Amino acid sequence: MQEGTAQTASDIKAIQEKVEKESLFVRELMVEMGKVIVGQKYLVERLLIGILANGHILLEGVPGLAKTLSIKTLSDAIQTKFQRIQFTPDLLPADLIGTMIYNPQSGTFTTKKGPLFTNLILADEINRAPAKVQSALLEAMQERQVTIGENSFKLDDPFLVMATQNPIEQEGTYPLPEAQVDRFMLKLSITYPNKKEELEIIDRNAEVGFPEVKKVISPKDILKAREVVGQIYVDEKIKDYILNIVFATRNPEEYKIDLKDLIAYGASPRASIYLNLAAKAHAFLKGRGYVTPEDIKAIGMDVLRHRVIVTYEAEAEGITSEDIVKKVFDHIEVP
Amino acid sequence: MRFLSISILIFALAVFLPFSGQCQTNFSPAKIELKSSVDRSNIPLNQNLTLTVQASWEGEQRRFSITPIIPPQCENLEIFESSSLNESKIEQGITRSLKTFRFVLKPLQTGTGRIGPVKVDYIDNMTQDSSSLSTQPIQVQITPANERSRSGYKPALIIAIFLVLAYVRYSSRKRAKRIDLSKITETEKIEPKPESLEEKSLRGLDELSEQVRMGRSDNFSTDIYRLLTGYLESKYQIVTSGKTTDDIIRSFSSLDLTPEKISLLREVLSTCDRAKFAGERLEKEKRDQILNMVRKFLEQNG
Repeated sequence: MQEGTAQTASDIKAIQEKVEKESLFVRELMVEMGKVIVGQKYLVERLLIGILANGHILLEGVPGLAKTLSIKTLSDAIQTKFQRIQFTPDLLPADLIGTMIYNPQSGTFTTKKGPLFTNLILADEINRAPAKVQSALLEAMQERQVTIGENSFKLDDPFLVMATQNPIEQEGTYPLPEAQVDRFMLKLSITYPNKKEELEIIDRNAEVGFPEVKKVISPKDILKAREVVGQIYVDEKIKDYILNIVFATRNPEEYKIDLKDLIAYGASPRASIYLNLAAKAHAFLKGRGYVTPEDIKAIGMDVLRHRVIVTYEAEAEGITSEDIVKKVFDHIEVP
Repeated sequence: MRFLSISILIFALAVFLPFSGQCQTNFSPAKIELKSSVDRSNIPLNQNLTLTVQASWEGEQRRFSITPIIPPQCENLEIFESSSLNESKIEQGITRSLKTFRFVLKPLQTGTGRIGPVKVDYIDNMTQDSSSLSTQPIQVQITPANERSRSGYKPALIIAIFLVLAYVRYSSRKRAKRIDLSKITETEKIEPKPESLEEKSLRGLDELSEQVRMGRSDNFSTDIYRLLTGYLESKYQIVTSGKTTDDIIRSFSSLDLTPEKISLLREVLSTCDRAKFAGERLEKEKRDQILNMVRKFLEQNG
């Protein structure tokens, strides 16, 4: 395509203006969250990407990294409902979606909705519950509705699930199958705060109570922002770049990347879809009406790390999917 | 006779079996030796340093399981590549196994660079004992960036000179055959100087300017972006193909470029990005401005 055609240039300018107007809340929201959460800018940004791109998040990190606090604070700041569900081996699907309760006085069944009927959900230690409970949640995530008895109920919008997995303890867990992990838009890996941040955490926790978070926007504003995110311009060159990255995870030899025998399965088409959507949301957070390769690189690892499955040989060599994704990004030419 | 041979056999088994049993349980204690070294103690800012950590022991590879090591903490140095290698050698009839870890480090700024200790955890698969070893920290001096021709470029330079001389000799012979010697003027005797990197890039820039003038520069931003990044790659040995504009600008911090030059490059590359990804139309004046900025940079950098 010839660069800078008059039609696209004026359209993109209009989108840019909309983005600048609608993304004003981002800075204020980050400031408000920063009052409660020390560090974890990466986590907060990804939560916003999830909510703006209408995706869900799988998070891997050791205990005590402010996962619950982050999503709870976000929920307070954007005035949405929040539920934390602790996944345990004895949890049942009905404990999530709800059930029909018999009323002996009236002789009728009434619907008791489960904790899924909310906006933001923290599904804590999702791999502790058996497969049927995991599927119930993942189905609700995908369909955005649940069926109780004979009635189907739409889930609230915005609806974001942040599921956590503890990477340390694996005994007595039910690891999520690859097909179900693929339904999460992003898989995040968070680590400990640095010394300076941890010192601030000590000081803040020594004070009585957490500071109040100001309500920055409403769920309606989030839906409006989501519409603008959908309009953000993605050039054909960027789409080609996305396709090259995803296809390189499937056929690395075609792209002359030395990853032979290290990849069992490359990224699925969901990877291409989510790279595009998450990059748009990232551009929105940066106040841009168009996507650049920077956006793709910024969210690339989070979109791809759970979608590239390494071989046994790679595992034996200590090579992770993150190493492979990094190598792919280093080799694919940026447009 | 048969009874006698059976008796001898039972006696022999009774005598030797205890010894053979002892041999099986008494395995030799093997030790791991850990060494670490760098390829030099003084490193120019524009070159890379290789840290080698080698664990070696007598016996087969499978004797010890070495867990993947954690890269060392570095000050003023950044690890950008690592690899490992397993080897087995037989020296004077004794099998020796080696596991080598290599880290390629990039200096960040002049001064002292420190590489922290590398900890190696291992399990003796015969005794199931686990243990760990650590290397000593290493200190290196980081000196200002070298000129390209000083170190590793010598062989390439010699080959280049040789090729130029061979070409000059070949062409002068050819010319001698064709042209009447009486007609050779003084100016024709001057041999052409090899084209410098800047001259080559300026020539490319002239071609691009000509295309702009003739209105045939549909991919102007892509072309000028490639011309500039191609020049930077050749001049400073930085890789730009898998990098975004921000990545490229970040890599300038380790080069000896003035803030003015960095700012100029940032403006050119960002303008090209806006044209490439945001459909921004670069009018003729803007294109001329970009061309002049690149020309100024190349001339000043030559």
